[in-house]
Amino acid sequence: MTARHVKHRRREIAIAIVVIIALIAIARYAHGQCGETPSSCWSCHETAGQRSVIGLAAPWHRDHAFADLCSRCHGGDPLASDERAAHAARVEPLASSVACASCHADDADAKLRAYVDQVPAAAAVSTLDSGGPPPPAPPPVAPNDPLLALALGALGVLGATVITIVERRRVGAARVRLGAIARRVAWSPYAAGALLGVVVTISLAVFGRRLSGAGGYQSLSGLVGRAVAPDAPYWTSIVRTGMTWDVWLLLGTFAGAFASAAASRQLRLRTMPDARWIQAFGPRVALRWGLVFIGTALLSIAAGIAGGCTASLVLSGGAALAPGAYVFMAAMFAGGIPVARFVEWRARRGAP
Amino acid sequence: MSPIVEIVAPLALGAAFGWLLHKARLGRYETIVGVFSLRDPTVLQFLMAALAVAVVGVQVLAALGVATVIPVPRSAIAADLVGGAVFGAGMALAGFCPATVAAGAAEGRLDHLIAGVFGLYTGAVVFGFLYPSLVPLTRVADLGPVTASRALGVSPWLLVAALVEVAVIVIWAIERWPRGEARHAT
Repeated sequence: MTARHVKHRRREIAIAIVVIIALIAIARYAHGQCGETPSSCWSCHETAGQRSVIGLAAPWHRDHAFADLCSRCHGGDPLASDERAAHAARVEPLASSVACASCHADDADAKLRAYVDQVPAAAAVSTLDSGGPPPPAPPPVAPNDPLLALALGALGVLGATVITIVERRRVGAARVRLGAIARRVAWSPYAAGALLGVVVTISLAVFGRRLSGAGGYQSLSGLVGRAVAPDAPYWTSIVRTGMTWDVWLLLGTFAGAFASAAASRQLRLRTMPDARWIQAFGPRVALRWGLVFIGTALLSIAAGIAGGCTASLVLSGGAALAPGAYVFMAAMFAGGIPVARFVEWRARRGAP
Repeated sequence: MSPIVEIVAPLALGAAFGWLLHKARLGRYETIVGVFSLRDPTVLQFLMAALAVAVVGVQVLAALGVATVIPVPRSAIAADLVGGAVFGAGMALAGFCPATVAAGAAEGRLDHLIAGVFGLYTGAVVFGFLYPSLVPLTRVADLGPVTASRALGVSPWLLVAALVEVAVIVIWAIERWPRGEARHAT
């Protein structure tokens, strides 16, 4: 290690320490965090068995037991762990079709009537609470400040300027043109990663959305899914279909990647990956494409099971300190390492 | 949010995302399989840098009160374990994840653009049909949409500091690791 490297590292460590101290100094608790499929209802009522409703004869519970939909109909605060707080804003779903309409927009009244007709029979065995005022709509979530986007944009420009200055020093040139940096084939993974960290921060904090890859395919899956199975619950009430945020995000990802490849002149049609794959599996295109198809289908199913992918769970969830993100990351390596070792073994042995 | 923001913002965020994925060379099979065979640290370097910056950024903005709603994904531990393991296996086999497929496709790799996108889409449709039968799995050890700081009852800053420290240690270990051997395959 050269003296220059040591000096650089010392300065980096000093900066890191200052940043950490500054962060602790302004520490305050994050507030108002919200989830997508909240389920404290489920953990008390069903998992802990305090007044389970799924086993009751009431058909509406049975019909909707495939997901954490309690608060969609009943309101309340599914994030509160205290019983009183959780039940404070609870509503009576059978009193109006507002709750049904949040998923069944087209035939909410018919759906409600079908249930109301069964109330006498169901009520005999049900222990549902009744009465109370008619349901107010669940309170909308306050959007994040859009002006913040401008402030963060300015911050991004500042960051880019700093990187340019550092780069100029490193290269020793009087002037480093941004175009030259854009044309470079590869950036330092640290620089690219740190900038992605800024993108994740903006996405989460300004727009309240997770950065996602798998989400776009899930939204688009409704095109086929709804046509084949109009009643499948996944597309009627779990995933938002159509041109959602995640679909635009996915299109943007492709556009950005193509811009980068075009800038560095790497756009060249090819059907196979580079050397490593051929060493392991040989040059057959059909085998590569077949294994890619299987591997990527598994990716999508796994992302559905875990509720996210590398971008939406590991990065966005990890940044929000969700414990599941780190469990997922560990499991990802546990699943990937044996496969990679198999590939290495094949490559050493020589392809057939 | 206005409808225009709902389209322009994700397009812009996605463009930055895709650009950075490609510039980090994550569109290459070797890069992705290399992190799992411990030959190529690029993915870890990229992930650790991104996580360290984002975890600090999110917490700072939340502390300043400018970010009121941070989406926290649900932590269903059993589903995360099963999903994660299958995800890792699929990723090592294909050489990309649902987002980095764009970085490979951008270099003109048709195995990404055609087989990969088609496989990802097919998997998403299959998952939709499997969904009702997979719900029980997501109920096992389900912590809900909770943050680790809330689950452990500690200040998020403690966890942020710990995470940044882990990232620094991982990066330090990578930088100390002898190189050369790792690069010969390319």
